[in-house]
Amino acid sequence: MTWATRFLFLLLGAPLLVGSVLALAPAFAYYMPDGSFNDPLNHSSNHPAGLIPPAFVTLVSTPGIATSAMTSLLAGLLTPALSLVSVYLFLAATQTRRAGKLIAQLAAPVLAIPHAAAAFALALMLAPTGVASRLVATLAGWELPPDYLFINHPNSVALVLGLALKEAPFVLLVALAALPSTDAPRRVALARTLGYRPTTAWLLTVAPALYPLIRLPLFAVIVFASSTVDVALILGPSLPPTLSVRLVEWFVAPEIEQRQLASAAALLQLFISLSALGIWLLFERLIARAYATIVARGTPREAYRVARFEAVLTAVGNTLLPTSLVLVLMGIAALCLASVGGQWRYPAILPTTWSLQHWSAALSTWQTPLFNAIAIALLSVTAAIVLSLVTLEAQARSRAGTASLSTFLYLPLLIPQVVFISGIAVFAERTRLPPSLLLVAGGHFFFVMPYVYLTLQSGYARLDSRWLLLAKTLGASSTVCFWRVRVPLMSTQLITAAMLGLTISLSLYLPTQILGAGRVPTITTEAIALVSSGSRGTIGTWALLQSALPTLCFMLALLLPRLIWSKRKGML
Amino acid sequence: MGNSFTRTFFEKTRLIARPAIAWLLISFSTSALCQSSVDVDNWPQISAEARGQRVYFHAWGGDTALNAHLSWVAAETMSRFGIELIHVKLADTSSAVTRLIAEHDAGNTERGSADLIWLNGENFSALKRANLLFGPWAEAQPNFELVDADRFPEMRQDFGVRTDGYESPWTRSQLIFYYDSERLIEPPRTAQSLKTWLRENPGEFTYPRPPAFLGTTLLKQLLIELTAEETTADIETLFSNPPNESFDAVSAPLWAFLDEIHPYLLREARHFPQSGAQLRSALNDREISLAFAFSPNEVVSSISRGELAPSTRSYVFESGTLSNVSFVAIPNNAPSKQGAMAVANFLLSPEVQFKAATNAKLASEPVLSFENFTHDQQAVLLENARAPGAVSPTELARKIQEPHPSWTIELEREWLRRYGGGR
Repeated sequence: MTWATRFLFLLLGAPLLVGSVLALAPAFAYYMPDGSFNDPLNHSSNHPAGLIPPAFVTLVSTPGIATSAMTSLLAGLLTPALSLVSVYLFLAATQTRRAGKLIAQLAAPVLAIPHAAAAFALALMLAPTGVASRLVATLAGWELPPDYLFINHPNSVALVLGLALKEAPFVLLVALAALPSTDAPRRVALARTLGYRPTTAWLLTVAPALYPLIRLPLFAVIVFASSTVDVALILGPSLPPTLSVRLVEWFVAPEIEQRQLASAAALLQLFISLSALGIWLLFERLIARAYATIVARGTPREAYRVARFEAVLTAVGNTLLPTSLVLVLMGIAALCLASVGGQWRYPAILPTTWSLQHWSAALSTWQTPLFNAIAIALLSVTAAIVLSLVTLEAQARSRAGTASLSTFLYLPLLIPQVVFISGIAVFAERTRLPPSLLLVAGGHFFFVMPYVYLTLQSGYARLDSRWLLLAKTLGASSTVCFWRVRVPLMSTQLITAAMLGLTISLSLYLPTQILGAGRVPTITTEAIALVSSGSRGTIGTWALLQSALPTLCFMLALLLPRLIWSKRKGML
Repeated sequence: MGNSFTRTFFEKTRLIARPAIAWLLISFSTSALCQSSVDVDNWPQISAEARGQRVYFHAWGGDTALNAHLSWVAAETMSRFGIELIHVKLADTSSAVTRLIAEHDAGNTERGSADLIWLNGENFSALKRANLLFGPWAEAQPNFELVDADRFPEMRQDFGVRTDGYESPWTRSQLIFYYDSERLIEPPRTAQSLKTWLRENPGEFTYPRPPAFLGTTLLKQLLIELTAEETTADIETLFSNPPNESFDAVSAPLWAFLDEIHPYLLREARHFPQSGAQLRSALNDREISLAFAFSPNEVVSSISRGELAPSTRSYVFESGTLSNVSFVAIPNNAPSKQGAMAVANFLLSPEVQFKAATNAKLASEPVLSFENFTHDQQAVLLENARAPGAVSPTELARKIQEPHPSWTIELEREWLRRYGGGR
């Protein structure tokens, strides 16, 4: 391990550890018989041994806590499953077809839309007063909206759907990036010579080879889905809400019992997220075994039988993911309408009056939040790129292994955000670090770093090292090699890493809000604060403003390399 | 968009405060009580010292109309008094209270992050008892006499807790009900008639899920009304004290009432709206035909924003509705106390009060007594009271005082215990 790698371990690990400990510790506080309580962080604890801390007793007796935990667990398992199935079927059904590539390009803008905005878009489509219901109402002549419960239903279907709408494009892009290294066309060709139809052939031969390459990102999806706050607030059940939503409600309450309850809930959240991972790993094994049996037994007759499902699988693959992408994009269109709408009563399909009041109100207050958002994003992304390059360069020169580091980098994504960010806020308060833009940027760094590092790492791995060798034989120093050979040849990956990092930083809510203590407003915190306003117009305006910058970044990530390499062949 | 801002502010303040006093006392027994050398009776000196100060005003930021109003106030305080007023827009006021407690916990007694906080009820009473507020200062303000507190005792009472000069009023609110007059001819005006009407019109009413502020307010309104029906006891005394062991008996009629109406609510009470704003858009979309708000001007301002139909009308229950006053307070670790006082005094001036009341999108209810406005201003205010959708001043005179803050906590806890876990 090089010194740079060690430094990175420390830089990421120490705050993670300190944050998590500070966030979880209050759960173990004991009340003394005289009414005082024993804070494990302030005193050497001398509490009665063997007693369960009161916070856990309260947690267990909270009405509906088991339901809340189960909802979070199920969301954590069903979201990645649905995303993975829709992406696999889509890839299998559209393998080499042009339409598939076109639709995959639709996924990029959906990925850039912040989760909260996508959740609003879905609610605006499917609620009893939503666009879908209005369309039916116009055809059927309804005057009043139907009284049905889908969004916020206790069965959480809407929550899982809303999460999968955002996660499937993420899984798709990760899968597309990893696909070339699986040598898919030859695998499919081989299976087809054995008599399998194309979709089945892909699912039997490419899917298992692709899975290990997209496994870690899927784990991040599991943890995110089981601990999300903003999406669960908008689409999740309310009687009772998900564990993560209740946790945040307790965390912001000022009284100490609630804080301890929140810490106990954070521990439960960690347990639920890890359980979701564990159950997923179990299913991985079961499915792998079943797969092995199916593939091994694959006699022509069996293959023929499976092929009867070919049509169904292909049809589902062709429709599931594209439909979901279209749903989000239609929802975004509806948000656009709402942002310039005045009166828009049910069952009108379009607003009956138009108005720019939402935009003028938003634009009159947008400078500071916009400046803060951009400054934080640039600071955290620059730091992440510099540190990634230093580490990767040191590794490349010493030829040390990197596997453990890339797994470790996923840690900030595998520990629920609420848990360790609130601990860091406690730490900042104790060390009298005032809430500032710099502190927020530091918090963002943790979430930006994994993506930036992994993107650049793949760039390092892909670059043919013989170019560097050639430069060295011509007498160039390591520094010259880096600046004159590596950086220019890797500019595509550098741009992708930067834009990906910027996108992530721009849409982070919890770290900004908690570490900034409300003093560092960004586009995202303003948007979430206005969510409580309940007005479609205001929500639409801010959701669009919030989506605009990330979308711009994505477009730049696609366009810039084309401009830079416009006179070069084979660089894209 | 948050309609008239007080109501929505309360909704977002729901989680705040109900702090465990015991813990506060323990935590702060070590932290020195900081009363810096501000002479509140020497107003010219305060004005002079306020010049050049930077005042962080922590106030809920979920209402664009209020945000715009406060940025106008900030521009004025800069040009008139040289005070840089910064509105810290909170998604939830509880974060300011939490931070204040954390700062004192960490021994920060002089460099607090907030200079002025929009507070109410439970959080005020808790912070005051824990000695985390600066004061008394409010009654030393030159503009305080304009509220005529001797005639309007609610200017010195925050949810039944005496303010003792630690808080300055700046706006007021009252629970009102509203409906679309094109859909509903005769809305229910008592709790009992609400129940009868709901049976005949299932799905046409709901309320925000407690502890959302507006939902809890309805619980308190129903509790007081149902108790008044059944008992001859003095309601005022009963609810101005903390609930005791008789809570179960006193609140029993409320839970029986809710059990009866829940099957007839929108979505059969399997999901409740999160806020009054969602309640309003449900009414606008004809999902429900009766809604309520904690601001007398809710309907007028919403009609002007196009969020409610012009045919919407509002009214107050026969036996009156809950009302209260909103206050601002200064933490005792605020670095710019003089600036904060100057801002609070400016918020009380007839000019700012009139501006906030006549801003069609904000339509805040003034705290000043009527005769302290100029004749021209009075004429405009009277004209506004006759606008379609406004509640008449005679109806608004039927006010019920807020019960002691601890009732709120108990009611919310019991509601969550009974209905919060789902079925």
